[in-house]
Amino acid sequence: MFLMVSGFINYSQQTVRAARYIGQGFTITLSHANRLPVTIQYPYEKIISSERFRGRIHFEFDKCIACEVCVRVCPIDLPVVDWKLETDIRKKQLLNYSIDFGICIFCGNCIEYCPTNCLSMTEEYELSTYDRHELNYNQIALGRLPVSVIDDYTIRTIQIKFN
Amino acid sequence: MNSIEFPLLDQTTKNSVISTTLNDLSNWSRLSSLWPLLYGTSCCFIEFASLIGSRFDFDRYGLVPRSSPRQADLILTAGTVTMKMAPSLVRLYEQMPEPKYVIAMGACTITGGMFSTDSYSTVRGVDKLIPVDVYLPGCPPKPEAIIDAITKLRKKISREIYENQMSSQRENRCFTTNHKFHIGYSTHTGNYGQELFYQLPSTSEIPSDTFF
Repeated sequence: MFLMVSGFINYSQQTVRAARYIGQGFTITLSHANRLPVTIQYPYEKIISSERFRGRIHFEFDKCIACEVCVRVCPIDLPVVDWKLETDIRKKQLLNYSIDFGICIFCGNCIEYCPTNCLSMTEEYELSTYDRHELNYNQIALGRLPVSVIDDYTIRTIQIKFN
Repeated sequence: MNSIEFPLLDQTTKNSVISTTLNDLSNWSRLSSLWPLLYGTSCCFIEFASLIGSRFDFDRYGLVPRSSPRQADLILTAGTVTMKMAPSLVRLYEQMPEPKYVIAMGACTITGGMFSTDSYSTVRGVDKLIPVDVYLPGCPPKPEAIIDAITKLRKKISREIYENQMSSQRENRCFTTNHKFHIGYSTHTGNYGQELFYQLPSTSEIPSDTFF
Protein backbone atom coordinates (compact mmCIF):
# COMPACT_ATOMS: atom_id res chain seq x y z
CA MET A 1 0.00 0.00 0.00
CA PHE A 2 2.76 2.43 1.02
CA LEU A 3 4.80 1.40 -2.01
CA MET A 4 1.89 2.09 -4.30
CA VAL A 5 1.31 5.58 -2.79
CA SER A 6 5.00 6.52 -3.05
CA GLY A 7 5.09 5.26 -6.62
CA PHE A 8 2.07 7.42 -7.46
CA ILE A 9 3.69 10.49 -5.86
CA ASN A 10 6.89 9.79 -7.74
CA TYR A 11 5.04 9.46 -11.01
CA SER A 12 3.14 12.73 -10.51
CA GLN A 13 6.39 14.54 -9.68
CA GLN A 14 7.96 13.23 -12.88
CA THR A 15 4.93 14.36 -14.86
CA VAL A 16 5.14 17.87 -13.42
CA ARG A 17 8.88 17.99 -14.17
CA ALA A 18 8.38 16.82 -17.73
CA ALA A 19 5.66 19.42 -18.26
CA ARG A 20 7.99 22.11 -16.93
CA TYR A 21 10.76 21.06 -19.30
CA ILE A 22 8.39 21.08 -22.25
CA GLY A 23 7.22 24.52 -21.20
CA GLN A 24 10.80 25.78 -21.00
CA GLY A 25 11.53 24.42 -24.43
CA PHE A 26 8.48 26.06 -25.92
CA THR A 27 9.25 29.44 -24.34
CA ILE A 28 12.60 29.40 -26.19
CA THR A 29 10.84 28.49 -29.41
CA LEU A 30 8.26 31.21 -28.90
CA SER A 31 10.90 33.80 -28.09
CA HIS A 32 12.57 32.93 -31.41
CA ALA A 33 9.27 33.42 -33.19
CA ASN A 34 9.44 37.05 -32.11
CA ARG A 35 12.78 37.64 -33.84
CA LEU A 36 13.24 39.24 -37.23
CA PRO A 37 14.74 37.19 -40.06
CA VAL A 38 18.53 37.40 -40.13
CA THR A 39 18.93 36.65 -43.82
CA ILE A 40 20.72 39.32 -45.81
CA GLN A 41 19.23 39.55 -49.28
CA TYR A 42 22.68 39.91 -50.72
CA PRO A 43 22.56 41.82 -54.00
CA TYR A 44 20.00 44.24 -52.59
CA GLU A 45 21.31 44.43 -49.06
CA LYS A 46 24.96 44.39 -48.14
CA ILE A 47 26.80 44.26 -44.88
CA ILE A 48 29.10 47.20 -44.32
CA SER A 49 32.56 45.68 -44.19
CA SER A 50 34.46 46.08 -40.99
CA GLU A 51 36.94 48.89 -40.64
CA ARG A 52 40.03 46.81 -41.28
CA PHE A 53 38.55 44.54 -43.89
CA ARG A 54 41.13 43.27 -46.33
CA GLY A 55 39.70 43.48 -49.81
CA ARG A 56 41.25 44.23 -53.15
CA ILE A 57 44.54 46.09 -52.98
CA HIS A 58 44.61 49.68 -54.19
CA PHE A 59 47.82 51.02 -55.62
CA GLU A 60 48.92 54.56 -56.28
CA PHE A 61 51.39 54.65 -59.12
CA ASP A 62 52.81 58.11 -58.45
CA LYS A 63 53.66 57.44 -54.84
CA CYS A 64 55.60 54.24 -55.48
CA ILE A 65 59.37 54.50 -55.28
CA ALA A 66 60.01 50.96 -56.62
CA CYS A 67 61.77 49.86 -53.45
CA GLU A 68 60.36 46.33 -53.78
CA VAL A 69 59.65 46.03 -50.07
CA CYS A 70 56.21 44.67 -50.96
CA VAL A 71 57.87 41.85 -52.90
CA ARG A 72 60.16 41.01 -50.00
CA VAL A 73 57.48 40.89 -47.32
CA CYS A 74 55.03 39.00 -49.54
CA PRO A 75 54.88 35.32 -48.56
CA ILE A 76 54.94 34.32 -52.21
CA ASP A 77 56.87 37.30 -53.70
CA LEU A 78 53.81 38.20 -55.70
CA PRO A 79 53.90 41.90 -56.77
CA VAL A 80 55.65 42.39 -60.07
CA VAL A 81 57.63 45.65 -59.90
CA ASP A 82 59.10 46.66 -63.23
CA TRP A 83 61.48 49.59 -62.89
CA LYS A 84 64.37 51.17 -64.71
CA LEU A 85 67.27 52.98 -63.09
CA GLU A 86 67.51 56.52 -64.41
CA THR A 87 71.14 57.46 -63.98
CA ASP A 88 70.72 61.17 -64.66
CA ILE A 89 68.29 61.72 -61.79
CA ARG A 90 69.70 58.79 -59.76
CA LYS A 91 66.27 57.35 -59.13
CA LYS A 92 64.40 54.23 -60.00
CA GLN A 93 61.55 54.94 -62.33
CA LEU A 94 58.57 52.65 -62.05
CA LEU A 95 57.35 51.32 -65.37
CA ASN A 96 54.80 48.69 -64.46
CA TYR A 97 53.32 47.20 -61.32
CA SER A 98 50.96 44.29 -61.13
CA ILE A 99 49.44 41.94 -58.58
CA ASP A 100 47.75 38.70 -59.55
CA PHE A 101 44.68 38.33 -57.35
CA GLY A 102 44.37 34.71 -58.35
CA ILE A 103 47.45 34.08 -56.21
CA CYS A 104 47.22 36.89 -53.64
CA ILE A 105 46.10 35.73 -50.22
CA PHE A 106 45.16 39.24 -49.02
CA CYS A 107 47.41 39.03 -45.98
CA GLY A 108 48.15 42.76 -46.07
CA ASN A 109 51.88 42.52 -45.46
CA CYS A 110 52.66 44.73 -48.44
CA ILE A 111 50.30 47.41 -47.14
CA GLU A 112 51.82 47.16 -43.71
CA TYR A 113 55.40 47.61 -44.88
CA CYS A 114 55.03 50.02 -47.80
CA PRO A 115 57.24 53.01 -46.87
CA THR A 116 55.29 55.54 -48.93
CA ASN A 117 51.81 54.15 -48.22
CA CYS A 118 51.11 53.72 -51.89
CA LEU A 119 49.34 50.44 -51.23
CA SER A 120 46.05 50.24 -49.38
CA MET A 121 43.16 47.89 -48.89
CA THR A 122 39.75 48.62 -50.35
CA GLU A 123 36.47 47.09 -49.34
CA GLU A 124 35.90 45.54 -52.75
CA TYR A 125 35.54 41.78 -52.71
CA GLU A 126 33.46 40.89 -55.76
CA LEU A 127 36.37 39.93 -57.97
CA SER A 128 35.18 36.74 -59.63
CA THR A 129 35.82 36.43 -63.37
CA TYR A 130 35.32 33.96 -66.18
CA ASP A 131 39.00 33.93 -67.07
CA ARG A 132 41.76 33.60 -64.55
CA HIS A 133 44.09 35.86 -66.51
CA GLU A 134 41.74 38.75 -65.91
CA LEU A 135 42.64 38.50 -62.24
CA ASN A 136 46.13 39.77 -62.97
CA TYR A 137 45.65 43.45 -62.22
CA ASN A 138 48.12 45.97 -63.58
CA GLN A 139 48.74 49.41 -62.14
CA ILE A 140 45.75 50.94 -63.92
CA ALA A 141 43.33 48.30 -62.64
CA LEU A 142 44.89 48.51 -59.20
CA GLY A 143 44.47 52.28 -59.17
CA ARG A 144 40.71 52.15 -59.62
CA LEU A 145 38.73 53.05 -56.56
CA PRO A 146 35.66 50.94 -55.89
CA VAL A 147 32.25 52.51 -55.40
CA SER A 148 31.42 52.54 -51.73
CA VAL A 149 28.47 50.45 -50.64
CA ILE A 150 27.07 53.38 -48.70
CA ASP A 151 27.04 55.62 -51.77
CA ASP A 152 25.11 53.12 -53.88
CA TYR A 153 21.50 54.08 -53.29
CA THR A 154 20.05 50.91 -54.81
CA ILE A 155 21.64 48.84 -52.09
CA ARG A 156 20.50 48.89 -48.53
CA THR A 157 23.42 48.62 -46.17
CA ILE A 158 23.30 46.70 -42.95
CA GLN A 159 25.60 47.27 -40.06
CA ILE A 160 26.19 44.27 -37.88
CA LYS A 161 27.20 44.97 -34.34
CA PHE A 162 29.31 42.41 -32.63
CA ASN A 163 29.34 42.25 -28.89
CA MET B 1 11.31 39.80 -51.06
CA ASN B 2 13.06 43.10 -50.83
CA SER B 3 11.60 46.38 -49.86
CA ILE B 4 13.21 48.33 -52.71
CA GLU B 5 10.58 48.78 -55.34
CA PHE B 6 11.07 49.42 -59.01
CA PRO B 7 7.94 51.23 -60.21
CA LEU B 8 8.87 50.94 -63.90
CA LEU B 9 9.09 47.18 -63.67
CA ASP B 10 5.64 46.87 -62.15
CA GLN B 11 3.99 48.75 -64.97
CA THR B 12 5.51 46.72 -67.75
CA THR B 13 4.96 43.29 -66.26
CA LYS B 14 1.28 43.82 -65.63
CA ASN B 15 -0.96 41.75 -67.93
CA SER B 16 1.94 40.77 -70.13
CA VAL B 17 2.58 37.60 -72.05
CA ILE B 18 5.93 35.93 -71.51
CA SER B 19 7.39 34.80 -74.78
CA THR B 20 10.50 32.70 -74.80
CA THR B 21 12.38 30.09 -76.72
CA LEU B 22 12.99 26.53 -75.63
CA ASN B 23 16.68 27.31 -75.26
CA ASP B 24 15.99 30.20 -72.91
CA LEU B 25 13.51 28.13 -70.98
CA SER B 26 15.99 25.32 -70.43
CA ASN B 27 18.69 27.81 -69.51
CA TRP B 28 16.37 29.49 -67.05
CA SER B 29 15.39 26.20 -65.44
CA ARG B 30 19.04 25.23 -65.20
CA LEU B 31 20.22 28.44 -63.63
CA SER B 32 17.43 28.60 -61.11
CA SER B 33 18.10 25.16 -59.68
CA LEU B 34 21.84 24.87 -59.49
CA TRP B 35 22.48 22.15 -56.98
CA PRO B 36 25.99 22.33 -55.61
CA LEU B 37 27.93 19.33 -54.47
CA LEU B 38 28.89 19.40 -50.82
CA TYR B 39 32.56 19.36 -51.61
CA GLY B 40 35.28 21.28 -49.85
CA THR B 41 38.50 20.67 -48.07
CA SER B 42 39.76 23.48 -45.90
CA CYS B 43 39.10 27.05 -44.81
CA CYS B 44 37.20 27.90 -47.99
CA PHE B 45 34.61 25.31 -47.07
CA ILE B 46 34.01 27.07 -43.75
CA GLU B 47 32.97 30.14 -45.72
CA PHE B 48 30.96 27.97 -48.08
CA ALA B 49 29.25 26.27 -45.14
CA SER B 50 28.17 29.64 -43.79
CA LEU B 51 26.21 30.05 -47.02
CA ILE B 52 24.05 27.11 -46.04
CA GLY B 53 23.14 28.88 -42.81
CA SER B 54 20.40 31.42 -42.41
CA ARG B 55 22.34 34.66 -42.77
CA PHE B 56 23.62 34.06 -46.30
CA ASP B 57 20.84 31.71 -47.21
CA PHE B 58 21.74 30.34 -50.64
CA ASP B 59 18.50 28.42 -50.96
CA ARG B 60 17.18 31.77 -52.15
CA TYR B 61 19.01 31.08 -55.40
CA GLY B 62 17.72 27.53 -55.68
CA LEU B 63 20.99 26.08 -54.50
CA VAL B 64 20.27 22.98 -52.53
CA PRO B 65 23.40 21.28 -51.24
CA ARG B 66 23.67 17.72 -52.47
CA SER B 67 25.85 15.06 -50.96
CA SER B 68 25.84 12.83 -54.00
CA PRO B 69 27.64 13.91 -57.19
CA ARG B 70 24.97 12.18 -59.25
CA GLN B 71 22.43 14.78 -58.15
CA ALA B 72 24.67 17.82 -58.37
CA ASP B 73 25.02 20.38 -61.16
CA LEU B 74 27.68 22.59 -59.68
CA ILE B 75 30.89 21.91 -57.86
CA LEU B 76 32.53 24.66 -55.85
CA THR B 77 36.08 23.45 -55.46
CA ALA B 78 36.59 24.99 -52.05
CA GLY B 79 39.95 24.58 -50.46
CA THR B 80 43.36 23.38 -51.46
CA VAL B 81 43.41 20.54 -53.95
CA THR B 82 46.37 18.35 -53.18
CA MET B 83 47.77 15.75 -55.49
CA LYS B 84 46.20 13.12 -53.26
CA MET B 85 42.79 14.77 -53.53
CA ALA B 86 43.04 15.40 -57.28
CA PRO B 87 41.97 11.94 -58.52
CA SER B 88 38.98 12.01 -56.17
CA LEU B 89 38.00 15.46 -57.39
CA VAL B 90 38.21 14.40 -61.04
CA ARG B 91 36.19 11.31 -60.24
CA LEU B 92 33.56 13.37 -58.44
CA TYR B 93 33.41 15.72 -61.39
CA GLU B 94 33.03 12.89 -63.86
CA GLN B 95 30.24 11.34 -61.83
CA MET B 96 28.19 14.51 -62.07
CA PRO B 97 25.55 14.50 -64.80
CA GLU B 98 25.61 16.95 -67.68
CA PRO B 99 25.32 19.95 -67.66
CA LYS B 100 27.84 20.58 -64.93
CA TYR B 101 29.55 23.72 -63.82
CA VAL B 102 32.65 24.44 -61.79
CA ILE B 103 33.49 27.45 -59.66
CA ALA B 104 37.12 27.56 -58.58
CA MET B 105 36.88 29.11 -55.14
CA GLY B 106 39.84 30.62 -53.38
CA ALA B 107 43.40 31.33 -54.37
CA CYS B 108 44.48 27.72 -53.81
CA THR B 109 42.21 26.36 -56.50
CA ILE B 110 42.78 29.13 -59.02
CA THR B 111 46.56 29.05 -59.13
CA GLY B 112 47.79 27.26 -56.03
CA GLY B 113 47.82 30.53 -54.11
CA MET B 114 50.18 30.58 -51.18
CA PHE B 115 51.39 27.10 -52.06
CA SER B 116 52.16 27.96 -55.67
CA THR B 117 55.85 28.62 -55.11
CA ASP B 118 57.45 25.76 -53.26
CA SER B 119 54.88 23.12 -52.41
CA TYR B 120 55.44 19.52 -53.39
CA SER B 121 51.85 18.38 -53.08
CA THR B 122 49.51 21.16 -54.23
CA VAL B 123 47.88 21.12 -57.62
CA ARG B 124 48.59 24.53 -59.16
CA GLY B 125 45.11 25.47 -60.14
CA VAL B 126 42.13 23.20 -60.38
CA ASP B 127 41.73 24.10 -64.06
CA LYS B 128 44.56 21.73 -64.78
CA LEU B 129 42.16 18.96 -63.78
CA ILE B 130 38.64 20.06 -64.67
CA PRO B 131 37.25 22.91 -66.81
CA VAL B 132 36.39 25.92 -64.67
CA ASP B 133 33.58 28.34 -65.42
CA VAL B 134 34.04 31.06 -62.82
CA TYR B 135 37.17 31.94 -60.89
CA LEU B 136 36.56 33.36 -57.44
CA PRO B 137 39.64 34.87 -55.80
CA GLY B 138 40.10 35.44 -52.11
CA CYS B 139 41.76 33.64 -49.27
CA PRO B 140 39.06 32.69 -48.35
CA PRO B 141 36.42 34.75 -50.18
CA LYS B 142 33.58 36.35 -48.27
CA PRO B 143 30.26 34.51 -48.40
CA GLU B 144 28.89 37.46 -50.36
CA ALA B 145 31.65 37.00 -52.90
CA ILE B 146 30.56 33.40 -53.37
CA ILE B 147 27.02 34.56 -54.05
CA ASP B 148 28.47 37.05 -56.51
CA ALA B 149 30.33 34.24 -58.28
CA ILE B 150 27.12 32.23 -58.41
CA THR B 151 25.35 35.25 -59.91
CA LYS B 152 28.04 35.48 -62.56
CA LEU B 153 27.71 31.75 -63.25
CA ARG B 154 23.96 32.19 -63.64
CA LYS B 155 24.66 34.97 -66.09
CA LYS B 156 26.92 32.64 -68.03
CA ILE B 157 24.34 29.86 -68.05
CA SER B 158 21.62 32.23 -69.27
CA ARG B 159 23.72 33.08 -72.32
CA GLU B 160 24.36 29.46 -73.27
CA ILE B 161 23.24 28.07 -76.59
CA TYR B 162 22.43 24.40 -76.60
CA GLU B 163 24.36 23.31 -79.71
CA ASN B 164 27.50 25.18 -78.74
CA GLN B 165 27.40 23.63 -75.31
CA MET B 166 27.17 20.10 -76.64
CA SER B 167 30.07 20.60 -79.03
CA SER B 168 32.27 22.28 -76.43
CA GLN B 169 31.67 19.56 -73.90
CA ARG B 170 32.87 16.81 -76.19
CA GLU B 171 36.32 18.22 -76.72
CA ASN B 172 38.76 19.82 -74.31
CA ARG B 173 37.39 18.18 -71.25
CA CYS B 174 40.53 18.51 -69.25
CA PHE B 175 41.89 21.95 -69.95
CA THR B 176 40.42 25.37 -70.30
CA THR B 177 41.39 26.68 -73.67
CA ASN B 178 41.38 30.29 -72.61
CA HIS B 179 44.95 30.23 -71.44
CA LYS B 180 46.89 32.68 -73.48
CA PHE B 181 50.15 30.84 -73.24
CA HIS B 182 52.71 31.53 -75.90
CA ILE B 183 54.04 28.22 -77.07
CA GLY B 184 57.70 28.77 -77.75
CA TYR B 185 60.39 26.42 -78.82
CA SER B 186 61.65 23.89 -76.35
CA THR B 187 64.53 25.04 -74.26
CA HIS B 188 65.71 21.51 -73.57
CA THR B 189 68.12 21.27 -76.43
CA GLY B 190 70.87 19.63 -74.46
CA ASN B 191 73.34 22.38 -75.31
CA TYR B 192 73.45 24.49 -72.20
CA GLY B 193 75.50 27.59 -71.91
CA GLN B 194 77.49 27.19 -75.04
CA GLU B 195 78.45 30.81 -75.03
CA LEU B 196 79.74 30.60 -71.48
CA PHE B 197 81.76 27.43 -71.39
CA TYR B 198 84.20 26.03 -73.83
CA GLN B 199 82.89 23.24 -75.98
CA LEU B 200 83.85 19.72 -75.08
CA PRO B 201 84.46 17.86 -78.31
CA SER B 202 82.96 14.58 -77.11
CA THR B 203 79.56 15.80 -75.79
CA SER B 204 78.68 17.90 -78.79
CA GLU B 205 78.61 14.91 -81.10
CA ILE B 206 76.10 12.93 -79.03
CA PRO B 207 72.59 13.68 -80.29
CA SER B 208 70.28 15.01 -77.64
CA ASP B 209 67.69 12.28 -78.21
CA THR B 210 69.83 9.67 -76.51
CA PHE B 211 69.47 11.37 -73.14
CA PHE B 212 65.74 10.85 -72.99
